[in-house]
Amino acid sequence: MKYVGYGLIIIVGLALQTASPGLVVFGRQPELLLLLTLLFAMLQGPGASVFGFVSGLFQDILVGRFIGLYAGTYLLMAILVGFLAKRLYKENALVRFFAIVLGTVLGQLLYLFGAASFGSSSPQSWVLISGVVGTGLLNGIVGVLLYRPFMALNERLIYLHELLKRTG
Amino acid sequence: MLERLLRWKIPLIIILVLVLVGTIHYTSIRRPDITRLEGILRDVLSPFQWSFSRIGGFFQHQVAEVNRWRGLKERNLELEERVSQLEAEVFALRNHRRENEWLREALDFRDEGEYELLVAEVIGRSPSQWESTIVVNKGQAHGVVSGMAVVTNAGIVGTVINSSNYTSTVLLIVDAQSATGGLVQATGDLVLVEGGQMGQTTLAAKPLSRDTKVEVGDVIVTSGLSRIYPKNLPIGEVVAVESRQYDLSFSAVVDPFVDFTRLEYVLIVMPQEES
Repeated sequence: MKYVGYGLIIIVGLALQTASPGLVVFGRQPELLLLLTLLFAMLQGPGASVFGFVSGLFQDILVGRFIGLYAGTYLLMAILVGFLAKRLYKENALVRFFAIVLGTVLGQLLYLFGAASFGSSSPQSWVLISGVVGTGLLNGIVGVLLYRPFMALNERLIYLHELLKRTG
Repeated sequence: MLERLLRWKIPLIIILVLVLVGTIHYTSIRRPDITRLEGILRDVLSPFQWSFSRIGGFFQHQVAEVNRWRGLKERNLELEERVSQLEAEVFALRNHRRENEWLREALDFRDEGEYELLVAEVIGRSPSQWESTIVVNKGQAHGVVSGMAVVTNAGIVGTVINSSNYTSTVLLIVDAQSATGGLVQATGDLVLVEGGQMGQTTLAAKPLSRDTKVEVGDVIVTSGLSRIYPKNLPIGEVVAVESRQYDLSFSAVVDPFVDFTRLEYVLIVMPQEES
């Protein structure tokens, strides 16, 4: 049950992320799938790496270039933020904000570095910095707002999963 | 614990890394055809994208409508002024057209304005800010293949980079991977128009010769040399000219005529049938 729920979350996230006109906040678009991965990592620890890998792979397939790069990046970010969340006091909104900003910034840099290593031309440095930092901050704000509803949704999915498992 | 971990997790990670590096490398080159799996995922996702695009479009229209009502009176005055200017311009253009037709006939030029155009709806865009692509609802089933030019009545939009049965991905001219041959309409000098600028909203026009002259207000059109875009399609207007190191060269900032944030419908230029 919970896997169907997670699959639906990825599909809806991907459709929202790629809809045109998309979600624009302060002139920037959040990296929704990366944000979902980071939120999962905060809730479930490094175990969210599978969610990160699958959502990244879906995004890769849609982009059609460097297939596996988003998957690998999101997997690594899920592991990193998952480990961080275990050691930090994630109930504090400021801690969550900085963890998501860090995950988003590192994730984007890793993707750009990977793409550049395989021959993609990088944007100009100031475009890159403003893009990476801007999206990081936006993801941080949206992530803090989404954390509680997301936690409730996750708990509900786990509860339903357990219920179905026990009742057969 | 560590031994168990080492026994199966590390080989699994190594295999995963190798597979990922392999697929990244294999797909790092632009492919005209996508795999069956990619095609299925895109076709499955397109109704969702279409629905969310419609919802987003509805809200965008409402906001635009409110803004439009606010400035209606001022806009009316502006438009009246503009109409009188345009009437004078139309008169001059009619004269030019008549002259042009006569010259075409005289030189037996082929009319390059007659293209077969396919209307497509924009149903999605790239999932990441690092790629500027859009997804349209026409694909291989409609005869759309990689390499076709995509335009609007305002100017050029981009090129089809791949297509599934019912959708196609279009690389926008503002993307960092995009480079288009252009010419300065006033002088006919050739420039290379590249994307990847600030906020992916402007273009950079780089001269192909040392004698090229570009001024603010110049209009850049397609050169027709690339074989992708037909000749003389509008690209954008020069809004700034920036000198490079030691003033040996320059780069012009071009504001594209197409508003990429509000694309709803586009036209795909279908190849002309050879007569």
